[in-house]
Amino acid sequence: MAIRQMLICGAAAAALLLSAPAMAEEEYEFAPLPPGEGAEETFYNCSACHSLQTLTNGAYSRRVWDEIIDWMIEDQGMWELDPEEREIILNYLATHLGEDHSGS
Amino acid sequence: MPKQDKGLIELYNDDPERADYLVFGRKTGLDRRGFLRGAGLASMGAVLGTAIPFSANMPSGLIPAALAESVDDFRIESKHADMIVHNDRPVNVEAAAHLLDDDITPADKHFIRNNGTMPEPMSKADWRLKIDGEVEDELELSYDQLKNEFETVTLRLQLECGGNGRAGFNPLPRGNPWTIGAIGCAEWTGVRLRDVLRRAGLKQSAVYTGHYSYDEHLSGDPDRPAISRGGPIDKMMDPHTIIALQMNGEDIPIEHGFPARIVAPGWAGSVSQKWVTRIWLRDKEHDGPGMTGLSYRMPRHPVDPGAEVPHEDMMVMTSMVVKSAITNPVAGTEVQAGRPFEVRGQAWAGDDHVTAMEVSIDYGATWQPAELEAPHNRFAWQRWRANITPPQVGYYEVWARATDNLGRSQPMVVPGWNPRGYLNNACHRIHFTAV
Repeated sequence: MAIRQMLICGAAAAALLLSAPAMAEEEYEFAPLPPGEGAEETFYNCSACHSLQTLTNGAYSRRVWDEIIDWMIEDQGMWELDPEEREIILNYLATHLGEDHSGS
Repeated sequence: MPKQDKGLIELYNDDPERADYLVFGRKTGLDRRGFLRGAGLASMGAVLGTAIPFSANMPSGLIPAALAESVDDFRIESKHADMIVHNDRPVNVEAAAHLLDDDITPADKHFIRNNGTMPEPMSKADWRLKIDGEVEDELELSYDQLKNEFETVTLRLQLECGGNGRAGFNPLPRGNPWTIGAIGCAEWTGVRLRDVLRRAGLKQSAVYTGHYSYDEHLSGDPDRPAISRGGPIDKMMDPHTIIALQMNGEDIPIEHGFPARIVAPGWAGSVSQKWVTRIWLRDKEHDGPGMTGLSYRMPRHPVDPGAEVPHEDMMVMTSMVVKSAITNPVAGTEVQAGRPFEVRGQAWAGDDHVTAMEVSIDYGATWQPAELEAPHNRFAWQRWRANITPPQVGYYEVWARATDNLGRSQPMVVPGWNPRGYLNNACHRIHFTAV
């Protein structure tokens, strides 16, 4: 535990010293997701368990994204989404990571 | 240095966004643009350059292809920087084709396909393997028992992800967009699974295995296996299906399954459970996560690209198919026009073996035979090489095509689309320029 904390502190110190210029350039707050309506809901519901590269690697139809959400909830331990939020996320995925998305 | 192996993986497992920020100076997620900015890169290099030992624990060169391509002198100490990262939670990494040039794939060039978390290594002393289900005597074996009480074998065994080549399918199926490098042929040392199953005594009713391991599901739910696949008893009794205790003469690295894993060569890698702790003998096809629905299954009959295939029309994949990779030269090489140069690679064919190898530099109009070596042992991949002479200056492509012992060749274009994008064995091709 102590070792871990030392490591984290060490990393934090190094990163903080060196990352100041990077922070000056504002990045999209839900990166790597492409900007768009629903990015925030998608970000918080998906990144709790897995990286968002799992999403941006994809380029799927609305039907496939819909199946993936079902699979996440039925088989992968994801929480139930209320219908309104699910629709927002599905719309976001189908619009911004649809079949014509070129991959990450 | 004191114990320094609680680095990046733990940091990422604990809180990935925080780890991203701490390690790479990225605010959230995996923004590659952020990665490529000078400051983010400098901070990563500098963090690695300090006493913080991320390199010691970082699985096999976790550098996105974009970064590896754009920064020639950037390397993580002792790891290969040309590995292509598809995901870091779960960790999914493949080799660029030129990294597969070794006859025995080193651990740092072997693909990683995780479904769950990267576990903290369990000690050999604590680890046990349970054999239960349709057996006469349930077993619980320690690492030392496995090592000392069964005959040890050392074999070069090819392991390929079922979805290797998925990126070539259109529409793109769900899953990691593997290109050609989710394949490796390491030298594995361990005990034959059949010897262990015989000690337990298989009942007549034992027809399938189900494998379990100590890694965790990404949701953190302890009752949910990250993946639990298995294989029919014939495959599991094959003398080349082993419980591996070593990879390339050393303890298996954590990302490849420390302290023990199954290696069932020639079948989708997911049969070869990493971090294995239990083999459950079943009286029917196993139905753990990864066995049912569309996972690791192929349509029983050809389907239209993008088709919605009913689950009852899908069947579990068996052997992988004939395939080859061009591992030298690196794509984009410049050579002398009119002078011969060597093109070489590896070829493999799931449960079968390769009997012929050909190459073409005129887009398949003509083919020349390549020299093909016999496998070191059954289930090892096979080295091939050919001398090629580009007749004049210009842009060329080398195409490579393998044929197996049953006369089946690699297709030039992508084979039958399937819902999850398995078994793409289209010819590998690379470009070069003659000057």
